[in-house]
Amino acid sequence: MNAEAELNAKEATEHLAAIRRIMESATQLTVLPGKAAIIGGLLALNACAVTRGIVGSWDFSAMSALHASIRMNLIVLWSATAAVGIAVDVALTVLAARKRGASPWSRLSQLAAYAMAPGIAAGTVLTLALGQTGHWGLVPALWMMLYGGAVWTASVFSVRAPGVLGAVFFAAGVATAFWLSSVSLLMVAATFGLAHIVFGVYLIAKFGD
Amino acid sequence: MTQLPSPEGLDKAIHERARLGIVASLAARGKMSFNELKDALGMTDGNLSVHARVLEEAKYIRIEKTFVGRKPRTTLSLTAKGRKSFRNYVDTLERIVAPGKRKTNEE
Repeated sequence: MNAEAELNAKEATEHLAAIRRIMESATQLTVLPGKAAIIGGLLALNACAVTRGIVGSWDFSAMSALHASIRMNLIVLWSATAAVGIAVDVALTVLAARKRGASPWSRLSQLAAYAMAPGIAAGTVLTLALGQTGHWGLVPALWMMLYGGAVWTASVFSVRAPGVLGAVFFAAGVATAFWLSSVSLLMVAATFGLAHIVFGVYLIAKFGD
Repeated sequence: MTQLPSPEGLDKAIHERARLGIVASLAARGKMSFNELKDALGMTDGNLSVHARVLEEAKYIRIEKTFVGRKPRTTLSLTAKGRKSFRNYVDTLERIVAPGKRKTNEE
């Protein structure tokens, strides 16, 4: 192979890599497909309604007054809600990628997952720590801020819309921590429930699903 | 925008990096609005318009102007000719990288 052909082969490789990056970023709409966001929102609303029925208050700190076994049931409910929500997101992301003939575990998906993981892990650990010490009132604000921060960070590798969703969650978390703690469960419904549904409808209207 | 040397067989309409970005994005998505494409590729209105016009003249893309309410909306999509040219272009690059590789449509 002569020097010119070698150079061309190197440049062609770079060009092919650039094409792959462009196609990935064009199709990597979001790590949260529209349908998954709507389903996640409905699951969150369901968990909020059940919690409200059991706790009898919109204030999450009322969890402290519950019997330990009832509290455990609610922890299981919220854990299952989060697990099912994430599973639905992953399943729909994989399906959407297959439909486009793209890899579901692309470099961008990996980066988005890495960006979200610390926030989700910190949220899980801190929820357990705050629950153990009876600080249930802080849990909703913590969820909103850590989830919002995670989505915000992951949006660097996606379209702009998830960044806005992340910012909404973060702002709602701040408001809940300082001024709206008496209706913290309602704030969970407004963010994890309604905001997800609105976001999902927006994604489907703008990008299709 | 940088441009690779044009070895024989590489389509010059697609070879320019900005136009390749437009065609690759549309190949992946099928259809995109002007603003989506502009954001995705980090291009200015003028730059995108100029390159889109070149691709439209080559009949590689279709540009449709509609109204959503009172707002004008420009949508770009890849034509069958554009998709075929893009596929040939990628094939050509792959043959430069791996000279033994046959054309996709020969396989």
